[in-house]
Amino acid sequence: MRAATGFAVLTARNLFSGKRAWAALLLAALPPVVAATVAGLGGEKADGTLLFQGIAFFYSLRIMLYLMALIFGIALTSGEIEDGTVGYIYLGSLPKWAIALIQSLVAAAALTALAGLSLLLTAAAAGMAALHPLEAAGATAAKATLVAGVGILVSLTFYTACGLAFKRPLIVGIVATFFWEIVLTALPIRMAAYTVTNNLRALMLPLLFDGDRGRWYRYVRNYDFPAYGEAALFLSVLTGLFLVAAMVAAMNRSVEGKEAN
Amino acid sequence: MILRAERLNKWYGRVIALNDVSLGIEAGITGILGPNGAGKTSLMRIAIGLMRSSSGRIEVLGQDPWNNPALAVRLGYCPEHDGFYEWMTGRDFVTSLARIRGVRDPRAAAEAALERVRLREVADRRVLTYSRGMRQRLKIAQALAHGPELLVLDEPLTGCDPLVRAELIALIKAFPAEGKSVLVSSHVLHEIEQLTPRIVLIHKGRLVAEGDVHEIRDLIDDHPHTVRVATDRPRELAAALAREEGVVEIRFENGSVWVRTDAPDRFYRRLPLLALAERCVLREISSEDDNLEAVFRYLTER
Repeated sequence: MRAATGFAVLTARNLFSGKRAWAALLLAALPPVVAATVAGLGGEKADGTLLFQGIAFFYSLRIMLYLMALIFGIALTSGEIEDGTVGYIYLGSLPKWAIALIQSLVAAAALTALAGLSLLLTAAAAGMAALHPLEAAGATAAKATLVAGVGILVSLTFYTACGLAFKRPLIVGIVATFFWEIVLTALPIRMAAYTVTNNLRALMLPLLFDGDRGRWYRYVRNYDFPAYGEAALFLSVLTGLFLVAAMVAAMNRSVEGKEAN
Repeated sequence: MILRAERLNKWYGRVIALNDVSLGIEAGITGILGPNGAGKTSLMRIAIGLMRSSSGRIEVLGQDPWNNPALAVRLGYCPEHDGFYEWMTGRDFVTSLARIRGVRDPRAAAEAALERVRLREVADRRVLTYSRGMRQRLKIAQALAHGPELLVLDEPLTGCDPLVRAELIALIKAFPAEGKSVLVSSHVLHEIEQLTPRIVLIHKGRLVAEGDVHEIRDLIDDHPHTVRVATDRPRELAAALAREEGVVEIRFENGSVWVRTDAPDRFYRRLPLLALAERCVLREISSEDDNLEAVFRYLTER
């Protein structure tokens, strides 16, 4: 337990050191800055509710969480080899599967907290708009954070599994995300119901949009949309599968990096 | 026996890193000698469980090291290359690693290890600011902090100045008295020779010889050595070296003096004295692989 706690602290500290931290902060800072700018400069036409929903729908709960998960998921695994620190970690008292589990959970928690802060500030900025200022900003941000947390967890476990299983994890991760999430999500076919994005949207619908397919949902093309319960089940199963895949890959990981010979 | 390997093989794609290596290593200090690319690091990484062998068996302290955390905490590993959380302080680095190895009082363990390698005074500085010698000592400190039974040190003296080198040699030589065994690799015979008479020779992934260093030494001395000496006053040092017996060639490259000598023993003995007389600061002494290569060629071809 002592070693697990120590490793969780080390992982959290390592996550937010160096360039990766700046990249994450930049991604997280963008929504509140945009929301504040629009609310401030939009005058009487600035619609607070629409503004928050739009930013959450198109940026925070799609682009931001995937990029954060990609940066940190890959950094957690192949980054340790690049930094030459993987040997120190694997020579501890923790089994490799526990290391993969702790890394994934700590990173997901840290990124969810960052996403939560970003969404809260965005909601606060949207609350200052002249037209339909966002009400109950804290509660709305909390609901959006819940969706973000689920998205981060499933994406991060996927990228972590990629990082542990493949020699070129970044390419595998990006290609898989592009074809599965970006292309398939946009197609009006049955398979589109099995993308992470559409399942996150299914969680968003009752939580952020009161179940009403409002203005922002007109851009969602696929006709077959999962229900809230189906989405929650699908994302949970997917997270579990990726996590198990990451743990199995970790157990089989032989460190043969640049120092290997 | 602390390590036993039977028909150990390791391939990286089509490259053979270890080729049918069988050996047994007793407690105490054992040197693994071989030129760069010989397979020393591969053998060490397999021994500590960081890397899986392609085939064959290995036992360390009586156990299979692969996926064996209970064994991992009984080992201390000092990698050849620098790998640090550069943003940490030295103290923080050693404490954090002691903690993940399950040490009850990681702070006290880190303090003792830092004291041991004489890094306590700079322990609050960020690793980023550490010199090469400090980094080497920090790597040894983290390998020591959890009180391992076997220390695996991969080229721990590479790039160190003579003072640090002497300190580290004294430190490593003291471990057996505490009941610890040491496996130390190098591509420089003179380094290994100062640590232990027991050596294992590896070349191109094959075990070439194992046993007493003195027999190998006689072979080595028959071949000229090339040594690179980094100093603040290369011309003055070169002038002094040119007057020395056994120095057959001197050249300058990238601010360093490259010396070819057919009397390496005498050279290594005289170098600090000459540096002192000429008031030169010796920054680094490194030996090329060519010296060993010639001997290995002889050993493998005979």
